[in-house]
Amino acid sequence: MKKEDVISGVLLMGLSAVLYTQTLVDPSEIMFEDDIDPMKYPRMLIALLALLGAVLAGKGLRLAGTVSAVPIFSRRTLSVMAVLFLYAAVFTTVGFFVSSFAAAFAVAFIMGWRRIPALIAVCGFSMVVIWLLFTYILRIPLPVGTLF
Amino acid sequence: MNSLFKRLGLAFACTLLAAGSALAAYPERPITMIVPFGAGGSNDLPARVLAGMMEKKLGQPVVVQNVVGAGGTQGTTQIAQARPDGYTIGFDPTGALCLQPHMKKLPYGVDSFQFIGMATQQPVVLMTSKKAPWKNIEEMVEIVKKAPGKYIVGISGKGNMSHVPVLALARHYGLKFRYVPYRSTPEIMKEIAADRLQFHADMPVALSQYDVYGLVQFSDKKVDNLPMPNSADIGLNKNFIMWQACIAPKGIPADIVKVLVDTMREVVNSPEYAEAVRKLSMNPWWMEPEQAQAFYAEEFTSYGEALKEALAN
Amino acid sequence: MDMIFSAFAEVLSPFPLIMNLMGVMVGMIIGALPGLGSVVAISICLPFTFGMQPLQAMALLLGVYCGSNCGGSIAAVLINTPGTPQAAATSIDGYPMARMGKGGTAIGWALGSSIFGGLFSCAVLVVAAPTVASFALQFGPLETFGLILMGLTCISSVSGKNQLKGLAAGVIGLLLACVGMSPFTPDARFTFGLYALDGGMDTVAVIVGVFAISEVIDRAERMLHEEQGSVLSVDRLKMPRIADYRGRLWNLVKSSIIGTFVGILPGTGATTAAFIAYGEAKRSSPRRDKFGTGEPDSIVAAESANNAVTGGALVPSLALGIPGDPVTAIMLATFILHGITPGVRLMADNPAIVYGIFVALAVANVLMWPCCCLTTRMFNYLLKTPEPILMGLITVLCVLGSYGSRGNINDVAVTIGAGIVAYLLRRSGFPMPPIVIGLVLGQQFEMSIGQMTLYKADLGWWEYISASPIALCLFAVTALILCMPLLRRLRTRS
Repeated sequence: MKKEDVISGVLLMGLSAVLYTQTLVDPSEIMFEDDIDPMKYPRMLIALLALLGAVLAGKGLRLAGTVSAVPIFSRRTLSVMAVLFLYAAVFTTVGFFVSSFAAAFAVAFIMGWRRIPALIAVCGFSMVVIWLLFTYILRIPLPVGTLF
Repeated sequence: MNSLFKRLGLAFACTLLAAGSALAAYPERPITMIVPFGAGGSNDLPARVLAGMMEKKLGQPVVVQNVVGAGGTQGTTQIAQARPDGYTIGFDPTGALCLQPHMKKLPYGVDSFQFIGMATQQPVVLMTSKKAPWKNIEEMVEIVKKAPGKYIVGISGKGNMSHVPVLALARHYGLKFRYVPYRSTPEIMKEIAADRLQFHADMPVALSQYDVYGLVQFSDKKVDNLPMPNSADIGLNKNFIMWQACIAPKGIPADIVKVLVDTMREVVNSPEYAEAVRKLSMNPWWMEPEQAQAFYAEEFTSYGEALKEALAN
Repeated sequence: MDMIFSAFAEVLSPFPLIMNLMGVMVGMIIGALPGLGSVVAISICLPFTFGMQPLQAMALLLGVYCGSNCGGSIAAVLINTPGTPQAAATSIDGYPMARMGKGGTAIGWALGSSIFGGLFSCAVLVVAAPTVASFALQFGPLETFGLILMGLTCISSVSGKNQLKGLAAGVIGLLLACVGMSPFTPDARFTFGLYALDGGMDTVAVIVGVFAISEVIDRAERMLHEEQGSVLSVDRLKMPRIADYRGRLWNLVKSSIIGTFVGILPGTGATTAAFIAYGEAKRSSPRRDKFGTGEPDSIVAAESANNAVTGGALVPSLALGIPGDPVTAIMLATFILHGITPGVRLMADNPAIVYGIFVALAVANVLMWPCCCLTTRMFNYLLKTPEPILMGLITVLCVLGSYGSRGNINDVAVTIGAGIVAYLLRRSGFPMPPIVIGLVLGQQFEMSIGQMTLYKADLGWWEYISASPIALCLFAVTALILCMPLLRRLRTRS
């Protein structure tokens, strides 16, 4: 049994079930007379996805399993994911400076960088450079949060 | 080396902090002007003209930021939800402000904005291919009546400013068109050039840009450079005028509003601004914030009714 | 002919030349930053063009256009992050080459093919613009549908041994393109009640997440299991020798033709061109077995095609005044600001500016060489940073890039979410490029299906389709592409 194929196949079927429920949401009242049903096309895709998931899971049951030397979930990958998740969550409220500094710092730290003072200096310096680059040269305003 | 970096970073941080907390006169850092449509379009170019002239007067950059998505509503939402400190303002056209809120539930409504002032206005024009078998609106009505459902209107989105005016016209004359959505005006113009479709309603700037001519303008006033009947001439007493306004989120301090209004008034009434927007086939149009606010409330209701009528077809 | 010489003289005079060079350099750097692509680069330069002469403005914008197209591939090769969507196909073989320490060579191949593709399309533009433009007009919804269908077959060619998973990834991409406003009604779809999703999934945000963020997560663990640390550092850009192109010349020309044509036709764009050319190379290259492990053939195909789109997209823009993509739309808007009316009369009324554009485009392509060397050098300094710090900075740049690409704060969450999901998919053996193909083509695909239904009205499907020989041809080619592997297998068996 090829475990990841079976799991991903089942997950794909689950995903299509969830997406299918989303196509049943009531359409808005505003309908023009020549409207095309907006859900017809995605429903076909969802059916195809469910089918592919089923085939994948079915085939996976018969294939021999392989073991990768690199685990999918480990302390490192999980913590990087957690950092990224937090980064996205606070990016706009805390603002670019603090959140980006923390994210860059944390990712480097998790990946095994332990010379903290140098890291702080590099991260701080790069954030200022990036901020200047975006604001004054690229002219893309970055979100400024409560802290900056 | 490391300590140098650290000191440098610290110095930077200090200056920035100082700049952030000092109580200097507004504006003390760049102002963002959100445009809810893509760069280079007819909503973006006048905004850039306005921003460019305002920044010279304000002494701080006014940065145009294109926030694209969902028919302009994503950007407009970002204007409405921005911190009301005067550093985020927006440049928004009729469609996103007046029509979209009637189409679906949105996080903003008629009372979410503080108007700074009006910037431009121009009537929506119904354009048609030069290859089509008619030469003016009367002939068009006659021919289309004979073949209901044969002629096709290209629209850039359901229920937006390219759709609702045509629906009103069709209802007025009892015509039956087919409406095919496209992603952008150029795509529709390509189909017109290929004679696959016949009509498109858009801002007058498209008239000079593409190989089409105007059948009717949806305005009861005549505009100098648009030689075509207006909606009063054809007995359709409806105005579909594209105006573009500079707006800010509600709750922005009065003294900051005053700075912005004064600057904008000066710019919009200047001859350089007039010249620049006329190149885009637009007309400069200034309106004080209070009047603009009242005018917006009026337009908001009237578009709601227009939409309801269009749906009753 | 005189016209061309005087245009050369004008474009090569100092100021336009400097503008052109600056454009290429700026475009290259912005293109190399993950997430920020041609459109962002051009809108940054747009305000500066207001005060310039039309030709100088065009030289600047054309430089940015070509530069950003090429810059995207530097990041794609060196850090597996396509700086622009059209470079996604380049990273398939470019990044493995960089991992083997041949990053400089990979960029050299990319640059050489880009220049060739750009000059090729420029030649087509000069020689045949009016003739070819009328061909573009024949592409209605039905023909566009056929073209997209052909583009979707590339899902198979980029999936390698995992056909089933590739197809699933492609369907996921198509479904991602459905999120947000439906093109036919005012409804929003798959938003789970969140208004933030009304704007849909930004292609750039998803691509940055799928390639770069997932790579960061993957490296976090994988670097523990590798003997040596980062081998990414490149000494310098190495252009391939002319002799290296032996056996690849036909591939180069063919991909340039594909790129030029996809550029001329509406509705698809550079990303599709790159993938179609990649698919074609994978079918016909004598080294097709090595694709995906660092084979220059695939870089040659992808890069020459995506840069050939520049000249192609200018064909309908200059000959008919109808822009082929968002970038050329901005260029035409610049014309209007300078009081020049684009359209069918442009070539007759303003031949000087049109020839100026031809020359500026060609010059911009040549200028990519020094600019690319310089940018690669700069990237090289960045890559000397220890990997953990580099990954931290890449994370931040990716998030900012996806935010900056259309200014939407929600896209940050989309990028991160896409990155985490993509990491899981990737580790389960799903190929990533099909997601990009599905996402890029999805919207136009659904649009053309709906438009076809509306145009067809009461006609029967066959009646409607058979009226278009172009569509029939495209369908036939698509069927052939799909059946080829089967036929080949039958032949080897017998």
